[in-house]
Amino acid sequence: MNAIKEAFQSFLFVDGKTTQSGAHFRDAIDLKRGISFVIIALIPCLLFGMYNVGYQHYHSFTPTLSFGANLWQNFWWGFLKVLPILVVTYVVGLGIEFASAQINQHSVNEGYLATGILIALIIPASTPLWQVALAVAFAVIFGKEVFGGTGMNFMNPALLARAFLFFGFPASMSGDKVWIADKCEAFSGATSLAQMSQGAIRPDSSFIDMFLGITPGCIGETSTLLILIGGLFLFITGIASLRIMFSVFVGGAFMALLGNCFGSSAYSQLPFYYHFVMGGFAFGAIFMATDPVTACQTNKGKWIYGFLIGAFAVLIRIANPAYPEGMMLSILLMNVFAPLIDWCIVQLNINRREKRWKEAKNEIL
Amino acid sequence: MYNTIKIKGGCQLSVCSQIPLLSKAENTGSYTQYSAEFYAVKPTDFIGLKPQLLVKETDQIKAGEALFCDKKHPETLFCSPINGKIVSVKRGENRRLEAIVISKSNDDSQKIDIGHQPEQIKKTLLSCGLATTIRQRPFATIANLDQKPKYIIVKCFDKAPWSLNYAKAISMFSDNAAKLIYEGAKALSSIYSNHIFFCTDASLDYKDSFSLLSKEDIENRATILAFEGKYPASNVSVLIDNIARLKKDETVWYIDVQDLLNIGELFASGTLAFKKVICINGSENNYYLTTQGACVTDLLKEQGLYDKEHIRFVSGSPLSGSRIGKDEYISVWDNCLSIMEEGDKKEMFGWIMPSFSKFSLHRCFLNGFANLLPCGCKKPIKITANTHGDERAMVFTDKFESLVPLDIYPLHLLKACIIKDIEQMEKLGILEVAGEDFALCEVADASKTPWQAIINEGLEMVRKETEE
Repeated sequence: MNAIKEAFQSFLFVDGKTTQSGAHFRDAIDLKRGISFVIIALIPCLLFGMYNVGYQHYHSFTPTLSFGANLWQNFWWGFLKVLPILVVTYVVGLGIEFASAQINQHSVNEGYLATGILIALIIPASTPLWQVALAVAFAVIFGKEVFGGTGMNFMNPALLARAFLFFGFPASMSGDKVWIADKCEAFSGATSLAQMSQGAIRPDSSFIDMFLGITPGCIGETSTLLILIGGLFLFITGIASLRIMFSVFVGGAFMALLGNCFGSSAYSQLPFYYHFVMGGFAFGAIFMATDPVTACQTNKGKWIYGFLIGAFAVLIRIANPAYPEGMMLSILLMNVFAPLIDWCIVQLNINRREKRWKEAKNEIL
Repeated sequence: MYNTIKIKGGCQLSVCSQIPLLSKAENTGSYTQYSAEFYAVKPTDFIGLKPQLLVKETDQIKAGEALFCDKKHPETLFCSPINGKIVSVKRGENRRLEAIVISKSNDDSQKIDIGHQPEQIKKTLLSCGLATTIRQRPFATIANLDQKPKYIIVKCFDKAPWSLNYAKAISMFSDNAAKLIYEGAKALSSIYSNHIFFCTDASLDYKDSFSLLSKEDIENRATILAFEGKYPASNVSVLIDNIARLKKDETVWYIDVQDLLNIGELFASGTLAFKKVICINGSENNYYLTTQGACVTDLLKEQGLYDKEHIRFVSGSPLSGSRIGKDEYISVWDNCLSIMEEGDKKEMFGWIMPSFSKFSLHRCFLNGFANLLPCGCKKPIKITANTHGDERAMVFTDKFESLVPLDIYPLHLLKACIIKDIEQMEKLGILEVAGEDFALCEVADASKTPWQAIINEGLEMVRKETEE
């Protein structure tokens, strides 16, 4: 049980280990600290998500219910709905992590601590727990452990879990019924994305409501404001790459503007800033695309990677009638292409070196 | 007057050890003579060396007499830096020769016959052991004096934390430093009529140390460059990258200015000495004029640190120096002794506490923000040898590119080294680097991966392959 013992020990204490080779002192940062900062950045989204789950539930019965009313009642209802999902993601995911660390005789990497909360935030609150457990197991085993665990995966495990649910249990992940937990049958509950893909000129919710997050949707994805606050925190603490975050939005805006110019459907005529507040665009840009393991690892590559994620996400939204939302698929697609982008950038460096090798440029001599 | 070169990237670390040091020097700017009882030459300091011992224990030896030679190049002699008696020949695993220890007897300086023709210079340097202070890139091995280098670099500054102030060290080394530098440069550059570059720090005042380089007989061959930038601007890889990059099969010789001063002394007066100025923790009041390979025991006793526990002694900078015991010797390449606490204590929940006192380059510690400030404004932060975490998978990789001011993708090179793909390592530029260039990456890495060891291992593989 060494791996488990070590994991708990390292949770309680920073070890007294000293450097044995190379530099004699090290930065105070370790993986745990980095990961825990991602979790801190997600907490506003989680708390608001819990509240919003409760509010949307009660709102479907009483459409006149104002957002600020019955604060604790709403929160408590949402809390009871979301907590089991969180517990399931962590118990199943960490269980598999511990088991695999024990089997492979390596230490438990803390990467899953962020993945667990991310999975809970990107699924609807109405998802059955057994489906959540299945998706988590699939994502952790086939998305991560078979490749060697944390740091070796080429696809974002949280999004893989969502993709598993999306394709494996479409009834729980799409349509109008799933976005509000235990909603009133009579209430429509369609998300803004669904309305747009069905041909609406503008979604029912106002821009500001969508920005604040007072809309049906996945647990933590609705409030662009809180996501941006989390993003700002990640940028200030230097955990997530600003290059990726920024270029996702640029890519999205670019494709949306292209749609405005050349598209014929109502969806393609939607102003670009609407795309940022609808669905999982902002959440994907800030928390998913910036996953340092599955993103490009060269600085130049990060610009391209982010831009293409934004562009493909909007393209899937406006050009593919089957999927109202494109962020998940776009990020997973670019996860697969990230090594290729890096390869191209590194290859340019190699070509430059080979040229120099033959004909060195003499700066001073 | 000097050509100024600006280096982008890197990071100037502002760190301290908080170990109190005593000083015998009268004032800032003066130094103390340090004469140890024992001195040693360590074959392990030299990369790729297969030593053949030429002396035995109890032999009497004079400074400049051979202790051992390189089996592959028997003409390259490694000599004693002092007059004395060989007290022990230390061997490690598989009888690997680790150190030859000499007890000092009397006056060190030795008169030697010298000539000023290129062949004579070469022969003199090889026979008295000063040739072993010249290294070459790629690989940082001892320079092969039979092969013409592209140019020669004289390193006159160091940006690593706690390093020597070279301007000060040059003036301490000799009152006549300008003359010695001139003679040394003339001798070294005339072997193959090479260009010689003096790489200096733009922020240091070297006074008239380089004034004689404008003399007619060397003017066209010597250039003084002033470098502006943060660590690792002083690393030889960065200097080469900014002076002139290498083509296939080309080499560059490089030498520390103190070793050049020794060569200069030899050719100016025929006196052979292996002098060296060292400092402790970069402290202004702890500069010592000593001889290469000095044992640190007496120095530590003087400082009252010899009997203290949980203290680490490092020959060289804390970034890329080598750990030594309290009875061991300063390495031939190092100009400073670093002393820091081991820090081998457990700390509860240390990974999440919002600490103000921990050293970090990352902004998830408040001290990480200090890196945004100009160098002068930073308060030094205490460092210890604690790793602050266990080895983990590499997840946070955003910082590395900016810490290596070379046209290199550090992470990809590291990965090529890990999978031991020699072809890929060469393509990614391993021949342009040394392990020390990745010291900052190693420090900043949250996964605690041993970068320098991995890169050095890669370099060793490539070197062996090239030799075959």
